[in-house]
Amino acid sequence: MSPFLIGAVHLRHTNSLALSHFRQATLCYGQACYVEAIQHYLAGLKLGAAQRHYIYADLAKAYEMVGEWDTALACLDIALRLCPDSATALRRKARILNEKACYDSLICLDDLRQPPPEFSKRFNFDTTNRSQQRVNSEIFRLTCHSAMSPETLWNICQLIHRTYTELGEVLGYYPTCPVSISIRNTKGTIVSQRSLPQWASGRYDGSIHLEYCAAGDPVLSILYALLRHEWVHLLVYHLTNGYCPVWINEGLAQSIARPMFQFERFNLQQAVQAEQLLPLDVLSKPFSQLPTKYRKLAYIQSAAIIEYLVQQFGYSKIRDLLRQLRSGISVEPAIKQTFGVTLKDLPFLSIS
Amino acid sequence: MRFWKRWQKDGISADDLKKAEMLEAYTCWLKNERLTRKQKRLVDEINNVPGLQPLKQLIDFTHYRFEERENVEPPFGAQERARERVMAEIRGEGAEAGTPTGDLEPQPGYSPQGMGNETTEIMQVGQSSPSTDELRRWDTEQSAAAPEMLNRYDDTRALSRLHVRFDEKDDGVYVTDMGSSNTTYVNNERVAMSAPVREGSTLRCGKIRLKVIDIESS
Repeated sequence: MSPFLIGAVHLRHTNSLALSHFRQATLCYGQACYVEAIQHYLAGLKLGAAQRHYIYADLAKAYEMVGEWDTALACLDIALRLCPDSATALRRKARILNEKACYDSLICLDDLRQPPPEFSKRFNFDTTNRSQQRVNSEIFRLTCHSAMSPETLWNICQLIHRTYTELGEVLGYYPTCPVSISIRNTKGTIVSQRSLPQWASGRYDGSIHLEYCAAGDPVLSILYALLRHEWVHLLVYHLTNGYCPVWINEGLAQSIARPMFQFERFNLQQAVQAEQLLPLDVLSKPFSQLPTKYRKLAYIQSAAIIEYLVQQFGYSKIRDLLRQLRSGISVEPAIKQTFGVTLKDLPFLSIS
Repeated sequence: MRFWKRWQKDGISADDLKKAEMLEAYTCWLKNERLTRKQKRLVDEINNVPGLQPLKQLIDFTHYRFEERENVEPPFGAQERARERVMAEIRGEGAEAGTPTGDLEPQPGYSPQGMGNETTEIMQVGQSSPSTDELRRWDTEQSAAAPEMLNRYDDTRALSRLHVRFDEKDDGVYVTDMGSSNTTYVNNERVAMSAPVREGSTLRCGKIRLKVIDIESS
């Protein structure tokens, strides 16, 4: 066999292998196994195909999903160096920059103090189970994976305290019993073995369940937004005894959890212009039952309606609304009595 | 006030008295009654006393359900449930940790994924990438532009260039560590020089785990 032929066969082999890695990466991404997707992209890139811009653009997307924005931006820069006009890479870069800024505005890591020497005394650590860490306090009962570093665990405890205080002040309610919170890394777990649907990262069903996907510890600002979202569900449930329409519940949770991203506002604007806002009866169904394309808009639309109510009337009126709902009054008269407006007067709400 | 003083005589602590006064002040506030300066201070303080929150909730509950809403019929059984909750709180049998106490079971509330909520997903490599023939033309050189931070996901970096060697001997197959940086383990035991491997054995070379499925003698 001539050296040339050996080279060609070798080349063909490595490229096929690279392709199979990229296909595998796509499959992993589709199953929300982002860490595994990254590993396949990198393995494929190692074998070749380094000059393809869209591989880097997709790798950036996978990095974005594990909250590694800086690495995602570095990948997008490579993609843009290879193809400066790539619309996908440009769009993703703009979105990630906005996303990162929004999350960075939520917490300042300098605000989180170092664990005090009495850390272990203040919280009751349960180390009987080797695969899990448990922390108990007056406010919460936290369960997370044993691999989480003590610093991250301490920061999470502080963020729970902060959530308890801040949201208690906003909505006027403080849970009277410790809240059960579980935090799980889904790295290496296939979708069918997860407790949450693929599109979700948190759930409140009497306890709070949060999931993240990362090679190591979670990104605190993302986890904080998820925690705030679910904590709002907890408070709303207790404040209304469960008598709260889904769109008010989700809108409050989404608008309090984090600022709305630019691309979310853009999507909302597009829906308004195209007269494709979801009608009230769709927003009144559990969002988990909606098709994906409606679900995203349902969250954005609900958040925008609540944002409007908060800006116009303030949180004191929102608290009044929740009290009205608690007493069993249906949503229309409750809104009329609280704000003096009808549902038809609310922006971003389509009454069919 | 005499009522509180009689309690004080009967051995009720000052702390409990203050809590009772807080609840009374809170009830007056809910009823829109004129508050004294002391009562205003107590109303401000009530949220800082976690132990009072269940009773505060009950006051809210009864106030909004029965007293101020004369034109609203309370739901069936609500009065009985409220009475039971009051009695449970008085007996010190509050709801268990994390157990919802509302009338309805909580409808699960989900957080959508926080990142990357764009309408387009990643490009499907199998569809949008070139065919295998086109792949042949790809530049197989590793891009010098690849940033160093990408490497943290690359498990193969923990492998040494010459990591292990397998030898077939008369009594089986042996694995020998070639002086690797991250060492080799067989069934979680470090390989000092060489160690036998059998079907079902687990090897760990750096971060890479291998399982021996089958051994065929040559």
